[in-house]
Amino acid sequence: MRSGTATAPAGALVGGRVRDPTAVGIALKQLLARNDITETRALVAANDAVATFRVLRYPAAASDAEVDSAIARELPLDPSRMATRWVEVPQSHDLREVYVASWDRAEVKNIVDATKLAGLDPSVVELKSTCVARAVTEPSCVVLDLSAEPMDATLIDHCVPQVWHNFHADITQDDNVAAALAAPLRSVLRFYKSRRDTEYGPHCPVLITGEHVLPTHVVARLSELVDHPVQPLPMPARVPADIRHTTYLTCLGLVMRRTR
Amino acid sequence: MKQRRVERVERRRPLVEFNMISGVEARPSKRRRLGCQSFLAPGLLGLVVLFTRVLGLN
Repeated sequence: MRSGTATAPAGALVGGRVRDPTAVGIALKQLLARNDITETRALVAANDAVATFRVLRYPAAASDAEVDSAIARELPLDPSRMATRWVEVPQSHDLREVYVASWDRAEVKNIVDATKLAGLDPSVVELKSTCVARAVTEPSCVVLDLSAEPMDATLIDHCVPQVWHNFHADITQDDNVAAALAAPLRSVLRFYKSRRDTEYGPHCPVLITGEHVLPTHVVARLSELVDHPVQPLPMPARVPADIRHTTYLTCLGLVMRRTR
Repeated sequence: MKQRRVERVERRRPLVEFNMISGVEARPSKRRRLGCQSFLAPGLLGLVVLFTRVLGLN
């Protein structure tokens, strides 16, 4: 396996969005060359900032047309700017559960353009949250990524991403770290639990990942504040030293796809 | 001697697969069959690591 990392040029990537496809494409091309990678097919994970997603439930007898119109009411977005698609969540026997995502066409086009400029053929562009949900071992958990810029939290329930939230938090001041992280985590948990059709138990853990390892007392305090166990994200096997864990986990999720 | 066939329990997870560039998944997938992942293509894995890093998934 070959892997490598590079930093995108300043301003080319802002908040997970590709602002300069040419600069990102050149950086990718150089990265491929440095690592002697000649494969041209690409699976791309995109930052969730380029899209919005929901998991919606309908009666088992609902037709595709009924689901279409219900989603249009749920996500009344400008179709000229936003593309909306849905897929069925497998194994929902008593009802029809669908995962629907709306994404900014221009944002995804920038990602595709950057990939093509690097001489690659992107066959898949998928959100990081769905990749992580596929690869993480816990079926129901919150993955808190402290290394992302901005930081993000993904609530996963029954292996399906349900809520994604990004935020800025100052974790340099040791005495404020737990409180700084608890606020966005609580809002994610409260938002999901407020749905009447969920049973997100108190034992579902918060899994933290990031280069900055939180001290034990901060983790314990955070657990008290959010009322859920808090622990480090189990490290995937054979992670190269220079690859961040969530990045690696995201990539595992991409290659776990059954459809390419 | 004929060996007994090992019963395999397939741990199916309700995994969502989505593609924002392909028209293939524009329509709902009808109860897609799920099972264990086939294998991890090492080259492909290396490649996606590169892309996610460069695309800002820090």
